[in-house]
Amino acid sequence: MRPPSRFSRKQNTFVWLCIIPAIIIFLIFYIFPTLNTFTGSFFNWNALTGMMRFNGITNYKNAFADPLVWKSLVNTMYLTFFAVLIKTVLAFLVAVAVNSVVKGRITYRTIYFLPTICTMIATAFVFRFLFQPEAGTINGYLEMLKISGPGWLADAKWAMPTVIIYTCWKDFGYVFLIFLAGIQGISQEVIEASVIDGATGFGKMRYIILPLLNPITVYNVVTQVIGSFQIFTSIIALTNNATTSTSGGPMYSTTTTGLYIYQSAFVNFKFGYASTIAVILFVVIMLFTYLQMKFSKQNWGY
Amino acid sequence: MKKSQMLSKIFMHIFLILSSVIAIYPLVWMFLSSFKPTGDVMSLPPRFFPEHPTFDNYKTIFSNNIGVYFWNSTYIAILRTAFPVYTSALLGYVFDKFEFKGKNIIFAIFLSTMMVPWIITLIPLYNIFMVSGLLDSHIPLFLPFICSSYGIFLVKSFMHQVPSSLMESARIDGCGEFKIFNKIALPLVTPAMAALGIVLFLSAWDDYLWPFLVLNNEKLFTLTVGLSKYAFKHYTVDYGPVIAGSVISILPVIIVYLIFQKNIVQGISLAGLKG
Repeated sequence: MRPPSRFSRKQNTFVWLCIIPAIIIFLIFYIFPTLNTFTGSFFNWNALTGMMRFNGITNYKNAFADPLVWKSLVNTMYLTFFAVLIKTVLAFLVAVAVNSVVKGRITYRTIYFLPTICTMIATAFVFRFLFQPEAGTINGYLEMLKISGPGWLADAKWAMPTVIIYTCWKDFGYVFLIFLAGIQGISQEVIEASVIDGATGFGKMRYIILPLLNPITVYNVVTQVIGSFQIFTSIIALTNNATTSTSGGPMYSTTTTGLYIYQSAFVNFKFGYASTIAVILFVVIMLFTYLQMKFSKQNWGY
Repeated sequence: MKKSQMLSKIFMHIFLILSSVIAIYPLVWMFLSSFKPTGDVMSLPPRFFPEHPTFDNYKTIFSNNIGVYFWNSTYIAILRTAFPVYTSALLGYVFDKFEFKGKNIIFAIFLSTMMVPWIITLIPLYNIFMVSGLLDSHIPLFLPFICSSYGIFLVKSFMHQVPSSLMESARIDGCGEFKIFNKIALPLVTPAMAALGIVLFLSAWDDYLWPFLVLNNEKLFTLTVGLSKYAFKHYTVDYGPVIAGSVISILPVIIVYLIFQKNIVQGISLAGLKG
């Protein structure tokens, strides 16, 4: 630790010349907006008319009585659960496999990470075309196998699974890359020692790699869950209906809470109500993050 | 023993190749389909390769201002990279090499902003620019991104390895503080800045909803906004140009990725390992 007295006045000037503008930027663009969402949630705040009137907890009462808030929360959890589960398991398996081969490691890594890098809006459009129910490529191939494909994004039952397929495809590379870096960080000696002790492929994975990788797995799951809870931009790209110019359909089957916040704020201009749902979502995210941290510590107390 | 090892090796590769196909199939499909006439993009049975290759899709999309959008996206992405990379280096340096009142609290507050979901700040952020009359300009597209808490955190951890004695000796030589930073500290953390810069560039290029909300004037559209507006208007009839536009938006990203792959991988793995 360096005592502050060692710094001259000139250095102090330099420090505050850097820090003060940064504090102002953070205040305006991060801290104020965060607090403003919390205060705004207690107001009847209409962006079109500019009206902003305090109305206590009315927004919260309305939100808890709003079936769409509940539906969107259920949709969000459905999406999060399956997307995170599939991504994590697949990415882990592929990372272990890539680490175990000698040839083509870099090539595989390059390919797996490609979808993650690609522009979201463009890939979402490609998925809409591929999964188009009548003449899309996927259903075309299924038809060749004498399977009649589902309506995908046009079918209320299949729309969310299609969104899940898309997110898994898109984010897989990121989860994979972090797993791979983690596995490569495990010292080779530990693994070799376990093989000498008689660990086979499965045992090696279950008792050596998995426990050592636990912090990485927790990091992956927590960041993926937080990300999934906020999803809505890709849903707009995937489900925006050109004729009605609404997203989240059919029959609200893909309306996530993030999307509902967006729609309340920027389609209906109810900034206050949207802020209220945003606060509710924030609390849900915090709760889940806390539970995950707690659960992972209990279960893997190393 | 040897035979079973061979078998498991072959099995691994089949598994990996299959996953690779799933990963790149949509991208290859997109690239090939961009040369198909719109009627052939969706056909039963599906045709993988274009039978009547054509540049019409590209001609159509370029006559719809995609060139302007491309330029807008490029320069905004550069601004959204250059500013935060420099401020991250500067602030990472200040937070690591200096002691000052409230340092730990200020750093903790900066870091905590990383935890706040974007959707929480979105509405008031929009409101700030609406009230100040700056909507429908490029200012909201880079101003809120001048500082990056992730960047400060990343560079600070790199700065820690730079010995303070280097700065001390420069100070004895009478160097000014900004000069010491620019000439001595900055060059030593260029790998961190490169990793950060590429990650920021890609996320700026990919940004869709914020410019979509902010921009109204067609001349100001970024590539993602312009493409989506075109697509939402036409995609029920005109698949070809939408796909060509998608290729145009993805191609630069893939080029950047292939050139700077090492830095990208480093930047992302670091985030995971440190977090």
